Amino acid sequence: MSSRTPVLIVGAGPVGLTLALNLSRLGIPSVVLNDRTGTTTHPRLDVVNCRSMEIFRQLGISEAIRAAGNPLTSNQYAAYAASASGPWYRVLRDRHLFYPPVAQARRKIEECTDGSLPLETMQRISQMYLEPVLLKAVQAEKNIDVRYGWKVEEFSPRSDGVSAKARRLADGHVETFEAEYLVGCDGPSSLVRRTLGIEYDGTRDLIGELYIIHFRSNAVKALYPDSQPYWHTWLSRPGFSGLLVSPDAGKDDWVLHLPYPPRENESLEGVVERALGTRLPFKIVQSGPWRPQFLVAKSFGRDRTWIAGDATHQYMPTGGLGMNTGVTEAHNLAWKLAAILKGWGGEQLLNSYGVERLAIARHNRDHVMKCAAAAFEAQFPDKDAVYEETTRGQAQRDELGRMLETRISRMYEAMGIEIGFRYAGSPAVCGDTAPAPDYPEVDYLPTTWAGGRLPSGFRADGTALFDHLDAAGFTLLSADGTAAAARPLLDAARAAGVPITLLKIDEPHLVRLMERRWLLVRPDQHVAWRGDTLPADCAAAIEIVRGARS
Amino acid sequence: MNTPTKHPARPAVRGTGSQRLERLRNWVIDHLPSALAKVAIRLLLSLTPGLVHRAAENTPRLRELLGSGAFVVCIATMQGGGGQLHLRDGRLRFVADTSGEADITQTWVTPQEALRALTSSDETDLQRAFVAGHLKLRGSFLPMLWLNEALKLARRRDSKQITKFLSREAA
Repeated sequence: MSSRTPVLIVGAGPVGLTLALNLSRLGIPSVVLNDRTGTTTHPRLDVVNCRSMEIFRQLGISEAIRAAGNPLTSNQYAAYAASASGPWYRVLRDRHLFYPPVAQARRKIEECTDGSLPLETMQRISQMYLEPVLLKAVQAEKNIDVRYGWKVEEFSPRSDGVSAKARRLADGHVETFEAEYLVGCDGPSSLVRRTLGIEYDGTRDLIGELYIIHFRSNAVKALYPDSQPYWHTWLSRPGFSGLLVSPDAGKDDWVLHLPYPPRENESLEGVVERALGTRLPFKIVQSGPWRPQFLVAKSFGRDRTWIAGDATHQYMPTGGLGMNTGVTEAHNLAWKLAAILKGWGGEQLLNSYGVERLAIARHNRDHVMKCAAAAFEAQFPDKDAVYEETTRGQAQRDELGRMLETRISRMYEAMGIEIGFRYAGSPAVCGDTAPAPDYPEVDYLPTTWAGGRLPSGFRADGTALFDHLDAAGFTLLSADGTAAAARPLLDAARAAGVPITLLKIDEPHLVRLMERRWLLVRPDQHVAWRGDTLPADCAAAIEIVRGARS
Repeated sequence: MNTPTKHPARPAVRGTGSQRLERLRNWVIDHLPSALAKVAIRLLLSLTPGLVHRAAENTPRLRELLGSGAFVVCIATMQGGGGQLHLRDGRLRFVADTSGEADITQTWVTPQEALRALTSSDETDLQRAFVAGHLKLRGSFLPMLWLNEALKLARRRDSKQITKFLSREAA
């Protein structure tokens, strides 16, 4: 038996589902196959970062994700303590947009007029509650055929498509899928990556074996003020170290990360009680060792076969960039696949996916590594007196608190990494004539420098600028004038079959934010070209941004 | 209140021979006089640059690592001994003096614990020793990640050479 589809997606994790959903919104059908029998039952990730939330907003599911995650009025704090019963060294509450409850952060975002904040703040949620939201959205799309319990066993790329053989695990039934493109979102041991012969760049097992315990308790929240557990509680005292995570203050799930597996004679309950600093009822759901990595694939695919998500990168979760990097990859890839399948994308457009995203994956890896180092460094100060009510004890607690603010905080506050990334040197971006502005990891410096994400702002009527952008084509932002003035570029786009919308900007704060009179914005909200006058050769500019210039 | 659960047994990653070797290594270190342990640490550190540079000849990633940045890692014990590893201008070198400024300083309570961690192939031993209070750390941890990666690559290269040599002998 044989099925035909424009895009075959291997893997129905968050990245595979996001890709399918994005493609569907662009009018492209897909088949998604996964060898798991359903969505994950493990908490796994615990944050959807601000950029992913912006992308999910574009896909119309950000509110559903928020409803499934941490309540909008609950905190997203990070703390440092000897145990969850104290003493507490410090709590990060208000010094950054990401810590306060979403409801509070939204007010700050609405008041922002200089583009320095994202349109959406982060969302505290675990993967086991995120995936069902994505699956429900995917299942509501007629364009998507998602199948769990199907294992892709082999595939053969051809010049005009890909043929893949998959087996239904329940009964062994084998089906062949003929696709124009195949995308492997099939995780760290990706069959697609391995079949393409793409290796990871980096050295495995630099940190060694860590250990994770998932437990449930409705009693642990009482250890926190107003029974509102903090998102992350870092723990360090003589003889004990770890990270206690509450992925969602509205639920009873807890995750304890340990820097090494318990000894043979240690019970898991004993370890959890040491983290809590007291005896409380809880039930261990699952536990096990795992090995964090700092790996990036040497290539993201070629021709008809591409990879995304954990297939392209494996990071230690310090910084929360595993799935979130994958979501931006899916967002980058979806419009390019759609453009090619609809006939207006050029030959270089898919190659630009690899060029653009490989550089970001490496950049994010460096950041994650610095965050991992920072998490270790935060444990360096003396701790032998942290339980003492003495000057020395207070000095030690203060120093550890300072480490939370100066070291660990970088993994939470890295807005530069999350929304400041740029596609410099891309074959699908018209190179900017201005020198590249600073690109710090933690601070986000809004810029419309070509290749960067358009800074977010609000129109005079209170609607978000991003909500006015065309998700299926280019948007020409004009601070200048009339449709007639824009005509040469609009005509050049239309002549090449490129969908384009003109958006006139009148609001002075948005005009300032644009930095130039004209901006050409891609479907993924990144600036493809900018200028104070239209390009001298509009047709040539369009050829570049649609990936038709080699 | 909470029924104790024995955590799932870790998969046996080492064969019986390796486990015996590990026990022997621990026994030797436990019974090693401090003076000898200090000499062994210094010897191990002084051999490190040669090991890394030799392996770098055939390992592009090691060459890349050697060319990236500069740092000083100091490994010392509270009973004296140890040394520093300096990376500068693509060269890693050993300096016996531990008094110079370092980017990261590891100070071990005993030379035996230092020797145990330095000769271990389990990356978590350093963390275990730190949490147990056998070791104090000061400075930036990034050079430790660098050293971890470089030694891992260099040892891998060395063990490959040994395996190749042994198989040739066997043939």
